[in-house]
Amino acid sequence: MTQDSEKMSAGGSRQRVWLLLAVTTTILMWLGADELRQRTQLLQQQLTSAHKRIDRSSPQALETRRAEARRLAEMRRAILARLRTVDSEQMTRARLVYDLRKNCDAVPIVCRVRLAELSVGLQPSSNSAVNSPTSNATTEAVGLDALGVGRARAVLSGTFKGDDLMALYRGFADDENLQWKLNSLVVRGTGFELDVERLVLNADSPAANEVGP
Amino acid sequence: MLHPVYRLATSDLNPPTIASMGFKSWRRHLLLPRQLCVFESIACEGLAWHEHREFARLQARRLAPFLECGVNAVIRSGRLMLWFWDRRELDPLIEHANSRLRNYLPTVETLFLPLPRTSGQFALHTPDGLDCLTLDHGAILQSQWQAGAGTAVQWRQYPWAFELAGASQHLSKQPGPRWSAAATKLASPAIVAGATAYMLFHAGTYLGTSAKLEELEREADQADQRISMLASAGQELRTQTRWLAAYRHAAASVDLEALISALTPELARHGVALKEFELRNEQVRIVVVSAGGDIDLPALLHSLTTVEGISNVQLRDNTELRQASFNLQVAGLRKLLGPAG
Repeated sequence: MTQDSEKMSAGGSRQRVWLLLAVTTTILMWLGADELRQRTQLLQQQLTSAHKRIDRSSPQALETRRAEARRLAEMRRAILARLRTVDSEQMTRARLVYDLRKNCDAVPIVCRVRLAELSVGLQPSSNSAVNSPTSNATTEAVGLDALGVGRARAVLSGTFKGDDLMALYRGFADDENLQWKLNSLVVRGTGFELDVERLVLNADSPAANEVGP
Repeated sequence: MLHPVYRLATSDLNPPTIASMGFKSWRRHLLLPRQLCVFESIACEGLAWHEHREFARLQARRLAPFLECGVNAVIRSGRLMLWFWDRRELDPLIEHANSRLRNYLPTVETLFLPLPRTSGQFALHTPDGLDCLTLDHGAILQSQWQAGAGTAVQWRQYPWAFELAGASQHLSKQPGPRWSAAATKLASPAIVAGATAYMLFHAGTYLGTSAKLEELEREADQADQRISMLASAGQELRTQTRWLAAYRHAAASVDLEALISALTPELARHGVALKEFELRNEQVRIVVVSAGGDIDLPALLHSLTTVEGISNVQLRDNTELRQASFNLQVAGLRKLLGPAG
């Protein structure tokens, strides 16, 4: 073979090698692109899943619920703060008798005040559950003891005329400082017996810790 | 379809003419006088048959003696034979002789003259002179044309070798684009570039999607934390709600004022007066007496039942129709006594 034919043959071979390399590279690129395309589809599915996860909760919903919880907690603290007293048990009882007498004098109505059921202490029972008043029982069955609230109980008796008894009652209902609970009322003729108790939160009560100093 | 073969006749004295050769061929052959051509011969022994055409074209391009060059190329007995002519000279001649034949393939007349497969010197008679050839087993090593008196020659019906240049016999050394060659050269890079672009597009899409997914995953993790915090806040909310409901229930008392306000009109409507009143938690017992006349007990009982907040009304005792006692349930009339109310 002559030098020319060798040159031409060499040139053709080189061109074929380049063409082979190009085809091989193209196939590899195409395979890589196809693999990437499939992975991208998988990522798209994960994107959809992530969107769903994000949509399940929003910062606004969290903030709203937190704000509502804070509002209720504040309401609870306000209630407990109104009930709170720094007086001792005996002082509380003495103040109860004094306040009731003042109420009677304010009407005015003739009444006798006596402390009732001295066995009922101002301290709630030791097994009370402050933060979880109901576990299995319904809310109706939960007493003040379970809520950590103490009671100072007294009985007023006497006679009344006209609207005196309702005026005495309004004295409890419209009290702006003290919380009262009416247990019983018996009226026979002009005689009455009123069983009433004042709700207090003693400093020693576990619930008092929620109010703060 | 067969086409008649023509021959271009030139002379110093007469204008060029084109005459039919009297036979036909599958290709449009226009025979050129030998004296218009330049001959070259190159050895190509051992060259594979499928490389003949490319080799011939390559050599023709390399050896072309004119700027605008036409060529015939044949290979015989391991030798490439090339006849070149100047198209700047030939084209006006054809145009002048017969412009209709400008699309015919110029072919040197030597290919249509009988050439023996012998070696040594051989004188080939042409219409315009004598072509002195040096042969090697039928391949022309040298060709030297001599003008002479025209003699009658025996023409072949077809060339004695396959013409390799064919339609690409027009060679040009003038610079200019050759689109086919450029396309051939660019084909491979273009394919690779296309595939690369395709892969880069998907790679970019993949990377972009991956980055976006990473960002969304972070947000989703935060969302999961928010859900946990939502549950915690919900638990706190339920605890507070339960405590407040329990407190309101436990600390509430019967609204005495509302109860009396509700009872008084009903009792007055039935002509009875309240004689006794006993309230214990949510249970109320009342004793009513007639102010005059009998008490319509069913009507009174029905009236008490319809009072809002009062339920479970029971007639417990009576003295004829003058006095009666009722038990009432007043769970619907409760309120807090004090500031929280």
